[in-house]
Amino acid sequence: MVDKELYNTVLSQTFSACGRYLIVGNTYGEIAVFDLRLLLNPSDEHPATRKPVQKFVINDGVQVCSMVSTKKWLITGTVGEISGWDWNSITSSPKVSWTINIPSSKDALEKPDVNSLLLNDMDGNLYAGCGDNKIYVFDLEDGKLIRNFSGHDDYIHCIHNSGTTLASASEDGTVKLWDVRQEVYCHMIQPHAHEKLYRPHLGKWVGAVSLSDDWLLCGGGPRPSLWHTKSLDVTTVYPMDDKGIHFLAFHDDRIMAGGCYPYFYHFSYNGDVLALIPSSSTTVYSAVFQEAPYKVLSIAGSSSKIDLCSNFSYRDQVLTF
Amino acid sequence: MVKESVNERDAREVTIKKRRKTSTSGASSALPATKVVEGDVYKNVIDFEEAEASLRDPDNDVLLFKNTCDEIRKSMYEIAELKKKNTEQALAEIAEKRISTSLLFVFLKKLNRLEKFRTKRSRDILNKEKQQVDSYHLQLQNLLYEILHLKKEVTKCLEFKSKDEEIDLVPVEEFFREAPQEITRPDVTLTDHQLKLARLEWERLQRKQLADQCEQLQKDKEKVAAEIQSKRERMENITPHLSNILERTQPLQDYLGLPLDKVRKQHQVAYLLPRPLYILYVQADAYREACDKMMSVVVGGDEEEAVRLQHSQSSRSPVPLENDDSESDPELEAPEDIGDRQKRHHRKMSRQDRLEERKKKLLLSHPLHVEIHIKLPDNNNINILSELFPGDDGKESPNVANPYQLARVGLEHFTSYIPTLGIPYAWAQRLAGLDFMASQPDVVAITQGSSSGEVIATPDVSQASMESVVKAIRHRLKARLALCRQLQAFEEGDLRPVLPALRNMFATKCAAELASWHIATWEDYRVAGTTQKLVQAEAVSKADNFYRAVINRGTARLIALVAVKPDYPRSPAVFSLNLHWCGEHNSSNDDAIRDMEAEVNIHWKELAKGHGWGQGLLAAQFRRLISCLDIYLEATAPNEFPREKTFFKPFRGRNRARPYKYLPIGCGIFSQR
Repeated sequence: MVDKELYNTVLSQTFSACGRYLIVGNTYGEIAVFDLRLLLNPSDEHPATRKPVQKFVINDGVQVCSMVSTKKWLITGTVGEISGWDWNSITSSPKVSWTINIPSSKDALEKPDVNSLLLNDMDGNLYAGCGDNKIYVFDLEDGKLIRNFSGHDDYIHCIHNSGTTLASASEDGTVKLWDVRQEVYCHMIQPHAHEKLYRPHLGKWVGAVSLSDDWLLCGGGPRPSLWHTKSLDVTTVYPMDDKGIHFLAFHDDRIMAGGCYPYFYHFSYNGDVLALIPSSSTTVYSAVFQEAPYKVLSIAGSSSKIDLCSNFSYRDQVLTF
Repeated sequence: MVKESVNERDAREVTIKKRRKTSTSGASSALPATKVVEGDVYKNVIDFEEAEASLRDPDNDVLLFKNTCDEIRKSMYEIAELKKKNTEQALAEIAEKRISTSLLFVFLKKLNRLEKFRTKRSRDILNKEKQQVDSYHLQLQNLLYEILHLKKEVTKCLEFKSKDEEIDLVPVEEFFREAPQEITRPDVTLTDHQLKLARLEWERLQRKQLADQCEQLQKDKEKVAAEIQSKRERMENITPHLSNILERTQPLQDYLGLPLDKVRKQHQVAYLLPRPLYILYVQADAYREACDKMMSVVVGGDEEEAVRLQHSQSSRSPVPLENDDSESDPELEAPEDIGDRQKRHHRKMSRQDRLEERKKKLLLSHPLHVEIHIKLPDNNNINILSELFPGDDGKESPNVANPYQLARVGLEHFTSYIPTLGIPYAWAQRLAGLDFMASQPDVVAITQGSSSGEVIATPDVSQASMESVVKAIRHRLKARLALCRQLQAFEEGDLRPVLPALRNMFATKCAAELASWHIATWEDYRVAGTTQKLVQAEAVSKADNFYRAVINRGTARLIALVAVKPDYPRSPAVFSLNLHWCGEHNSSNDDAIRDMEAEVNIHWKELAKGHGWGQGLLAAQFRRLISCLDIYLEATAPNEFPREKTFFKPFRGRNRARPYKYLPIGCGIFSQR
């Protein structure tokens, strides 16, 4: 008989507020907690295990699509729901502190997935990119819906912000740039419209977007590329032979990229490969990194294994979900 | 003294002259001359001189000699002086001096002779003394040797061991208590030596008595043996009569349709079975008579061999356990368990032979076996009995003592003997009344209690498991037949109509078609690129049956490697997929194919509903796979593959999941899981 762990898929990860724990959620609705202190500084009385210190199933076993952490809570986005978990209870007996339901239209058959969660440092609000093509903004104080951004024609894959600018990547093949103070989007780019980016056999969809002050990264069906936000033109096309991009991020002077490919890439801005990390997953859906208190990069995706890099450039541990 | 010698000078002169004559006459010694002339002067002179030599003091002679020499020297000097003068007077003086000096020479000669005598005599004395010393030395050595010899004798005596020391005597207290007065003699046996003698005497008496007793018993035994012999002869005389009667009744039996003889013969053979198999036979036969007429129980195998084996084993004390299935022959015989005869026999054999013998004994297969036939309309026999109960793959010997026994005689692991010996399924052990389950505390107590690690076959165990095992075999057989029907249908390219209970689990029609279905091997399966993760996770094993299915739709071609478990349908078939369409897609490079695999490998339980689901599980899994392929193609490339299935979104979520899950709403809707 086949163990279902063999078909485990991790869609989201986050670090705890204290930075000591790595939280991983999969499509079976399980959340695993890894103790980074034990993993990175094993001692005699606490030998490092590659297994989670805590593992629990959220209600109904619906898939964990996204996670974000605040000082007080671990926030999980599932199907049609956003829940807050008290950090203090995570390692002992995890319990839900609050739940926000995503408002859904009456004629919809299915509840929308919360594909991407974002905590905006500017206004302290929670942004959620959802399966019903909209981005919702919630007030974390009382859980009330503040507003939504609508304009996409298909579901949202990923959202990211820089200051008051919000970028959203969607299945409809567009990346829209919003000013959070305005009602409608201010700019839109279509990567598949560029000949050197479009890969017809993979489709138009944009799986990942990332913003910095002047630059924007996006990729998915089209190749991963760097855009200038002012001129809205392609600056660099990254040479990856992948079958779809699901993760892109800026970090210092480098760019990280992961997707349906056996390696996780580090590029320089102008497209040189800085590092090539072998991945245990068929597809990388999530990568998280922090500098302190433990410098670590964690790469996860469609596998029961999670790759841990204490120096960002090479894999030194493989965890098991 | 000088004067005296001068006086005798004349006489001596004569003797000297005479001796010269005699010596020149040829005789080597003076003795013959003396003999010739008895009372001769010459001899007298010699005797006299000898006597003189012994009497005179040699030291004085030395002085005399020196003085004489000085005188000669002086006269020589004077002569020389005189010659210088060369006068007449001097010449006269010289003549005179010459005479006196010559006389002095004669005197010197005399002294010399005397000295010779003395030397000779002292030499004689020395020789004599030497001989004396030699004889004393010899004597001394003789004595030393004698001492050594005596010492040896003494140590020999000291080291002497008496026979009586080896005899195990009764303790002293018991001796005084039991022996009669005339033997104990308390007044005499005060010293240790006397006591010992008395005890030895008592021992001798006792042994004599025992020997008599032994002889008596031997006689009795012979008498009884003779009696038995005579009775046996009488019994043997009856045998022909009995067989006559049996023969005569045969037609009657046939006429009445009673298979009495056949049954009796079977029973007789059954007695030759080892205990576990006997229990199996009895229980199975009883079960057949009571409940299940579709079953038959027969003892098969070489009867004579079994008789021989039984004879050879009855000469040994423990009854070894043999089982035609298990071959667990757990004789952990300590050497004392083996009979006396066996022991002597073993001693003669070389060490190598003994090891061989033990190896053979350990792997002995009983010549008889019990055949149980359970009848169903059809029969098929691949691996059908494996994992009848969870975990019972028959790869390990059920007796935990076996690996140690095999290792002790230097044999390989038990698994390597399965092809020649048979497969030791645990259910077969239980059926034969052998309970090796170490988890039950009372059984543990039994196994620990018996030093040999043997597990004794008991009918209780057999009774308890007979019904469940027969039912399990029946179920297995049914499931296997159902599987075979499905496989046969697949080979003909026919997807079986799904069971009514599952009908609403599937879309009504599929566009993709099964193109071919072939048997594959473990080797093929193992080396295929798509199966590595399943092989590493041990989701499949060598014991499974493997098939290769090809499903086509348009330009797309899905190759599915299917592993069917021996305990199917308890464990479902495992699929490994590889899609050829715009390049290769499989679980290691496309999550959608990975999800498709998960759909059939993990979510198969949704298909295991309703009565008799096991009958069509593989076909149901296959139907599900084909509809998943349709979904994949229709969702990914709607231009090439027109959409026939109903689904809301071709993709959903960050992992762009395809709507593989079927919801029986309306005409059937597919959605994401």
